[in-house]
Amino acid sequence: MKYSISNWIYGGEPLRETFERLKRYSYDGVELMGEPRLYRVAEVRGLCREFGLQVLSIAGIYPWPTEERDLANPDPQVRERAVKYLRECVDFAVDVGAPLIIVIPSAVAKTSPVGHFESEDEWVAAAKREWNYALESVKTAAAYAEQEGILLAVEPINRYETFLINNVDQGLRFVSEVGSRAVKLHLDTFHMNIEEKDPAEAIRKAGELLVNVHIADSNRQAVGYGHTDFEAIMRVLKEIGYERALALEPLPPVPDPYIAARLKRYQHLRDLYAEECIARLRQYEKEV
Amino acid sequence: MKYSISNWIYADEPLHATFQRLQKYGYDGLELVGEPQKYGPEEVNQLCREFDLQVFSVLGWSIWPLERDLAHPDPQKRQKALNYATECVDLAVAVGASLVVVIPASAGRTSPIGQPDSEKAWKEAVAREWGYAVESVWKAATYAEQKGVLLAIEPINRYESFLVNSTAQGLRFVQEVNSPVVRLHLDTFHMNIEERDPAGAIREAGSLLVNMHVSDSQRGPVGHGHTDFAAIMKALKEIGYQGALTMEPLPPEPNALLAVRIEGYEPLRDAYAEECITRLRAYEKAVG
Repeated sequence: MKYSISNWIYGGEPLRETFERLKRYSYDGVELMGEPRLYRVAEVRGLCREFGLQVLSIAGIYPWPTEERDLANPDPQVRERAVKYLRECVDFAVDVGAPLIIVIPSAVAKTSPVGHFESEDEWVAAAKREWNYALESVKTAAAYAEQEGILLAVEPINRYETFLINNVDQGLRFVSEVGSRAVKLHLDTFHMNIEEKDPAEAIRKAGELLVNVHIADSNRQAVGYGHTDFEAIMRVLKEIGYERALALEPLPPVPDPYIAARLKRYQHLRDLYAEECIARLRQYEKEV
Repeated sequence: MKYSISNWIYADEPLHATFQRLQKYGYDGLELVGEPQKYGPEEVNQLCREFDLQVFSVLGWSIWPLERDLAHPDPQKRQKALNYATECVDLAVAVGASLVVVIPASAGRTSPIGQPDSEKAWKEAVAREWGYAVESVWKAATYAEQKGVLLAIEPINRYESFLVNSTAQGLRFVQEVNSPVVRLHLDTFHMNIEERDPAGAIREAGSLLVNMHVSDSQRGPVGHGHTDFAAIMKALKEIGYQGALTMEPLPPEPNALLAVRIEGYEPLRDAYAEECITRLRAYEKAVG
């Protein structure tokens, strides 16, 4: 198993500090926020060499309500911009040597299809249309990713962050409907705690399609601060032969994750959480 | 233990149909959604006699942006919310319910008013609104005390409120209001997201706990998720819980308010009502 941390949880922290922390606690690599314009490729590569770390994944960022990166949007121009963004992420992944990009097929925090609906039926119909738009967008992006040898990992996220793909069943159906060898699945223990009947079983279902995992405990804090059964999760990851990254996303105890990531008064927790997460997961890994 | 269902999950279903279902599956009573204009106490009391059921609680329905927000910085808006709370108390008295469930800042409002952008401004705004909410609940409590009705403060998860998410915060809130009629309400769905140990949270609440909402980890009926109901029933027994277990099982649709209105899911209502009570009774029996 490889261990990494997704650097969006560190707000605007300079990359060097993040790399120093990862090195100090023996991580294997980093997941970089999918903001290609924020980084200089030469700097990232230099830091990787200096600290002996790899960029193991790119976390695509799909904010809402801006209409820049919504792959499911009914407006074709919006979708075109979103696909263009994914292509930029693919180029960035190639440049920094990352094998994959996380794709959330409808913008994050968009909890309803676009539009105003008079009835529940209309809402459901609109959700179906957006599913198809998202499919079309991801297919287009996947054709490019295939050429470049980069994977797109579709991430189901919980109901409060999207209306479109919340659980592993929906994620697998989406991946199968896209039907590209570059499109795989990503899972997240925090979201699974809300959406899955049995998170370990969800991982088993994903099987060899699983190419990236986000880890936070049930309350989105560090491993050990909630009630997620990490032992069961590590056991099933071993069973399916998962050898890719566990990308940690432990957040301080603040309700809004994007605010949590920036709060100065919690910055002292960054080292502690980084240390606790890898120590506890390695222990489970050893036991199973 | 007393078993009940919160009737907001049946949207606009006529009360008669709800009472029939509750009686059919052996429930003891119900929680009535706090819409004083919608229900005539005479009809409710007549149905209670006819079906031999009780109204155990009234659910304060303060969904944002309804003007029922006890934490709002605008004093006129808080006054409206206070008026609403007293109407709920009157409804409780009229239908013989012993308590009103109170969410201290509107459900669905995930930021203080004005969405402060700096860390300092955010923290100060939260503290101010906390103070307003404490004051509003204290005022409502003086009225409720005269009428012999309890107010049960409900912590809800981070995606539905920025103010009171956890049992620890709920207990602090109750303590600050400092009224003999202000107690705590807990919800197994919200606890799965926010509590390190949901059963432990129930023990922490102890004798202050007067009402419970019950649904499984993905908000479906008991048995459809991974909530440890054996541990929860054990903790309830340990603290000598005398209140009701109020079911809120929702169909598998991410948006709760929409889920309850989709006609295609109506056939699930009977099945869910039956599953919830059957499974919880089995756990209750198992813990002795």
